[in-house]
Amino acid sequence: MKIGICASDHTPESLVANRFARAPYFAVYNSETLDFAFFNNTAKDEGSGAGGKAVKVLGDLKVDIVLVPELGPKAIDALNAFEIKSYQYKQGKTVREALYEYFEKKLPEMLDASVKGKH
Amino acid sequence: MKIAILSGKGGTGKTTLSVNLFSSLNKVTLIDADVEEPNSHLFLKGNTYHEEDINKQYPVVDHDLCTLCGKCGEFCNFNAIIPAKKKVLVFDDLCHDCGGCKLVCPTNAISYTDKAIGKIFYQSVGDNKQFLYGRLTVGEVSGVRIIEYLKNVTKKEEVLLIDSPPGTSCSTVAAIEGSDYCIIAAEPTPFGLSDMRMVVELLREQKLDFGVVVNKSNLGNDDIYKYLEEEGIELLENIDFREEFAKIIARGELLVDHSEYVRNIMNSIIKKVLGETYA
Amino acid sequence: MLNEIAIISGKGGTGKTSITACIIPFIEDLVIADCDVDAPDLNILLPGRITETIDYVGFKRPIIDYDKCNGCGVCYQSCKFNSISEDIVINKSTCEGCKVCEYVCPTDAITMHDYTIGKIFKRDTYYGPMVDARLIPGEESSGKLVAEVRKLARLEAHKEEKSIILIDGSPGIACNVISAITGVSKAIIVTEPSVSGLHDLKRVIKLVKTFSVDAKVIINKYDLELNLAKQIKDYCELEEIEVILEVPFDKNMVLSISDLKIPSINNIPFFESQKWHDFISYLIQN
Repeated sequence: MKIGICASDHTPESLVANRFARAPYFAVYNSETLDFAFFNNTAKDEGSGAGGKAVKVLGDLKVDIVLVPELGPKAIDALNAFEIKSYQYKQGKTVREALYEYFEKKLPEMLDASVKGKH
Repeated sequence: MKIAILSGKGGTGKTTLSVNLFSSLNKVTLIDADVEEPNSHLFLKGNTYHEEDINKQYPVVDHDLCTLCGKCGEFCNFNAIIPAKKKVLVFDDLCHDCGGCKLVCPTNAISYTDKAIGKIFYQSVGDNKQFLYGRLTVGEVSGVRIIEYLKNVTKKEEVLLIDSPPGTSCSTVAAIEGSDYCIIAAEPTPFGLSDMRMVVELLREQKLDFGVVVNKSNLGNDDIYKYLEEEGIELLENIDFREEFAKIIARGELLVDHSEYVRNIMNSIIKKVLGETYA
Repeated sequence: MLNEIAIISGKGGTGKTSITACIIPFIEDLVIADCDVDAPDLNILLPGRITETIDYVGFKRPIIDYDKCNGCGVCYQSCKFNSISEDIVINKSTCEGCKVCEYVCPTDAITMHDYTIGKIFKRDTYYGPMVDARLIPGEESSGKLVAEVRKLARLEAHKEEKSIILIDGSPGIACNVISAITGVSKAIIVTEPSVSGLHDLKRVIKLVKTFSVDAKVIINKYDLELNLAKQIKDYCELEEIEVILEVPFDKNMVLSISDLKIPSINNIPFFESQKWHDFISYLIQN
């Protein structure tokens, strides 16, 4: 299983990003090999439509689950279409800490109803 | 004769000039092409006798035909169509309606459907006077199509005034394109001058004739006049700032209904731009 | 976490840039982003050294190789933006860079090339780093340029360890405004007491409500027409949006700007009031 995490930099000790689609990097943790890999988020500089494109980036990386700070409606639609589940972390953690909290089942799953706003 | 009224900076009196010129002419059509924030109708208070939806098209995917090959998503520059695991996602508000996805689809799975992005309102304001304005739906990214439509339905008018959007971007270009003359509404402040310079650059690039009306002419400094002289740009008129004018405009009333001073200025602008016969 | 504050207004000329300028001297720890890319004016009041000028390549535009073009007109027929004339000349002001023409050309005469749509300036001002930009007049895609200015402002904030970004937005409600408020924490809407001001405020509030952002309203020059100021307040109450500040009309504001001085530090009494300081406290809280 592959778990994506929105990261502000490209190490497991970096802070998680405070935005989803415009996160600088995506960390991808592979639960079979126990390895982290880091990818530039190529969607982050899009003028518009970054949400959908960011999900496409994760979909192409074959991510099954993603840990996020928040999600817009386009990203939610796209995550559903790519069959990627999402869980919400709190700010101020590192990528590794967010991942551990996910394994400890401390992160709430993001469902449509929990989302504020439309963009 | 098509006359566009524009400004770099907002709030310099484009709409004030447009509606007061309109009211000073006998046979004229005005279009409010500031479709993001149209205001002229607030002053003219006409009756809408006709309205039309302005549509754009966006793709619909027939999932029986779609093989999820991904070509449409690769082609789209606007992130509006994204092939996913079992279906293709379409974000209609991001679609620019370029037609590319349908062209590249190898299985003909894409067709287009209409979506309204705004409206056009037709109003009659007394005899021989017509007024049209457009309104972009909130959340839509561009009003250019609505502006083009407004221009198209009024292209045969003898005297046409165009209240243009502020700034110098694509929607301003769409509004002023094809005009015989442009009137820049300016302000004698450093911001007003800086923004006007950008408009002058735009109008010269578009090879359009223009002149300047300096509004609130007693609130600022002389730099704008030095600039106009150096650049050889025609100064059409000055309009003073007066608190009573601000109040009249704030209430949505016409200055020409209250002030002889403004009536004379409007007539002078008309004479200079359209000629004696219209004044 | 970054505190990004956008100052916007539906209607132009309500005093958005003046208010933004007035805020600047009261906030330390600040990066300024002038996102009104077709009328960038903040730099007039904030002279500073330009530390970097960047040509911004917004997107790709078609170039026609007339040696290869056989004049068949397929590109003209396929372009939905009327950007190619019947005699196969590109009208760049309406082109959106969709690349359909490149795709349909049977002789490969059209290729897409990077195209500069504006210039971005990084400046070092007395009050902190500033990023601003100037759209090449007549260009499309100001939204993308705004997004780029904000990106560079965030990088600057990261590098200089600043926690607040103050964004001066543009009037209207289209792509450039959407770009300016996407993802900000606070949006301040500057309006004025007039029928136009109220009309445009309603539309911009509708836009802002589609974002999860804390929005407040400033009524500038509120005493020029008290009746309309009241109508604006009633409307905001109905929409549950707080009117956080009412700024009185003062000719000295305009005169101060004409002298290239920021009004809030030029002996105008309003800026010494408790209300103004409360407003600043609201802005800087996280």
